[in-house]
Amino acid sequence: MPAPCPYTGLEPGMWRNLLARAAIFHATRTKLSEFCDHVDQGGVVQYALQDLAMRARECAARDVDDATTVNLVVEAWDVRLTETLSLDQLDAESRELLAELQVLARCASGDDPFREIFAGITALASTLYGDAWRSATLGVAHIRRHPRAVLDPYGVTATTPWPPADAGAEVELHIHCDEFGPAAFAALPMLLTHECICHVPARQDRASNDSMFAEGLLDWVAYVFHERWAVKLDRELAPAARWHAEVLRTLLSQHTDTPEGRARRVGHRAAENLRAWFESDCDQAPDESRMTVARLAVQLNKLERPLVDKDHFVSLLGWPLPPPLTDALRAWESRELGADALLDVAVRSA
Amino acid sequence: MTADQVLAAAAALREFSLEEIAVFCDEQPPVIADILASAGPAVERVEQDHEGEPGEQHWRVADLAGLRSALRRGTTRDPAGPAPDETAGARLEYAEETLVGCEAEPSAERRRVMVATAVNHLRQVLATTLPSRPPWWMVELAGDELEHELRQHPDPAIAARLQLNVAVARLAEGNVAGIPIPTSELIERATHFHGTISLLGGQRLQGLARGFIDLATAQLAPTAAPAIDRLVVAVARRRLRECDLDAAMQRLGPLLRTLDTVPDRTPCQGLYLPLGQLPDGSDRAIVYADLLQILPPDLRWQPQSEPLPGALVEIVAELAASDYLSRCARTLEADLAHSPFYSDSALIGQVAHVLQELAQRDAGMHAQCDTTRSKLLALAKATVWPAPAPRS
Repeated sequence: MPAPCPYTGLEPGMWRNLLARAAIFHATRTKLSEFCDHVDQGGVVQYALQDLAMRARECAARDVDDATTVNLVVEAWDVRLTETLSLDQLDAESRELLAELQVLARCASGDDPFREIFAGITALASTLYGDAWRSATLGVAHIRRHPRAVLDPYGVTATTPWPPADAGAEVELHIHCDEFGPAAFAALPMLLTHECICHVPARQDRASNDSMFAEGLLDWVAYVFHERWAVKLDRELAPAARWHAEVLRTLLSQHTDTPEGRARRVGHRAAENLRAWFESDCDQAPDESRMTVARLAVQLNKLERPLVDKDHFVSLLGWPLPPPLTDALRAWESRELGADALLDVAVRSA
Repeated sequence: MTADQVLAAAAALREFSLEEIAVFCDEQPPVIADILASAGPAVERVEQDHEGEPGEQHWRVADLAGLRSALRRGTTRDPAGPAPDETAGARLEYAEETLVGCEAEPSAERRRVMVATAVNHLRQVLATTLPSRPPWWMVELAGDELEHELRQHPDPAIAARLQLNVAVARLAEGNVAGIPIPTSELIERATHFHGTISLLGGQRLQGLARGFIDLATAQLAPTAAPAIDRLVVAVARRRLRECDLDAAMQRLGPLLRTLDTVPDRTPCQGLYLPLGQLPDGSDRAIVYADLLQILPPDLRWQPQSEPLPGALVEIVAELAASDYLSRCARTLEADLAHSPFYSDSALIGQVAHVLQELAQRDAGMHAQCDTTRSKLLALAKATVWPAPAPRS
């Protein structure tokens, strides 16, 4: 008896298709980075991935429950991998990787890996934000096109519609089914960390995809926390999650032709300038300055203030930092001034 | 490395529960507690008189300097500050989009902050173009050094773009602070930009150029004048926006001159101003342009000039036509005299309504009036910069 799709608006067949692949990527997560590398190189591992996608599509069309779907896909893929591994001309590296993937994939279960990743991130983010945390639910949707014009292996994106409902925020994971491979799966923790650091607990009047605060400075902070949380979330997925977070970061920061891309680039730069200032003027150690920027950004995100005020604060973080702001930052750093008063100083300078 | 990370988080937080510091570290609380305990006396556990959950472990940094000294051991500080900034292109585009987007912001306070944000980014871009390399916040948008540098810029397209940015930023700053730029300077700029429009490619820069036109005319828009005068300027400003950019920039100078030379900045005394009679018996008059749209087609008139382009037309009309226009103008003036509306959009909407009523009195004018009404309502909906704020 098939279980209903746990995500509203996602067709059961599409859900089972995504779930089956996600379950296998989750089961093979210790080898995910190598899997991606081999896929990038083309050849037999890429064929294996394409075959997995085909098996998932076939099995998902059957009217069976989630666990059965995953089992069927694992079995079908197992058969194909066995055939591939019997080829004489297979190179040693590919043979070794495929054999390992085959063994690991057999442990795949029908549990929802999207929800598991999201639950881990929300638990950590709610501790970080404390009383300011807003409860959040996850939605998964299928998109028909790659989220960016230039194709990359990350055919997945996330969004948190604004304003949030009274019951809490809904984080929507949008997956382009045709492009959902191991790299996209490995990037999920970073994408969801961004939503939970930048948008779910945000207290502001509106949302804007070109906000240098929300999409830039806070995005930099999200990367800091993702780096810290990767192991806590899933020790086995952590290496691949960290690697693909960095690749995605480089890739997204090249998209300066979009409002988000510009916001990200300038906002990240603002964070680095602020960090450098904490080190040079407040005598902070390198990792302390990173944590201090993160702490300040989180405090600002909790403030019920217009987003334009927070964006204005970021606009002041050009190097060198201007004197009225540095005085206020020094006072904030030494606990003489709250984030609200610091933002007042920034806005008064406008 | 793990210990350094925990102690760095401790230095950043100063006083914290174990749960709080754990989200800043990649280790679990028991390991973190061991690291903190080994960092004494720089870090110490807070045992008593602390509000919090029962059983929560609290810690504080007792010797921040000592802790930082330990954290920096083995690291070298880079005195040069952060790496060279390569965000100028993104900053400039952001500044341009923000300046263009400001006009749609209904809140004056938010608009003020948005303008300041855009100007900050622009100053950071401009600071790198000046040979003296001043701190970005010292860059004077109206300064001679900047003006000179932009004139000397080897790339005419970049020069034109930066000059337009500076002009719009200055006008926007003046708009939100109530500090006008001399009209003579605006006219000079309009002439200059008319000559460089071909260098300003792309929708964003075209939008910025329209922003210049809009801000320049906003500076001369009457705010406390009678409704009739506010109406004609509001209509003229919006019609100028609708023009092709090249034509709009060309017309801007004369329009600014007209608005500025009228002593009280009110360009007309009414919506129909008779100028006298010609020897052939026809009337010369200045009339509100939209009244001509509802004139029955059998009544003849000829345009002579546009004292206020888009809003006021000087005409020569046969007697019947001038009578008709005069009557309609009086009706419209009477209605506007009691207008409860302050906003330009509402005034234009009011005119659309009155013109429809006037046209309905004449059979056969419905279709023509519907078109005029639709066009006026579209004008009313157009977003424009408001008149400058009163100087604070």
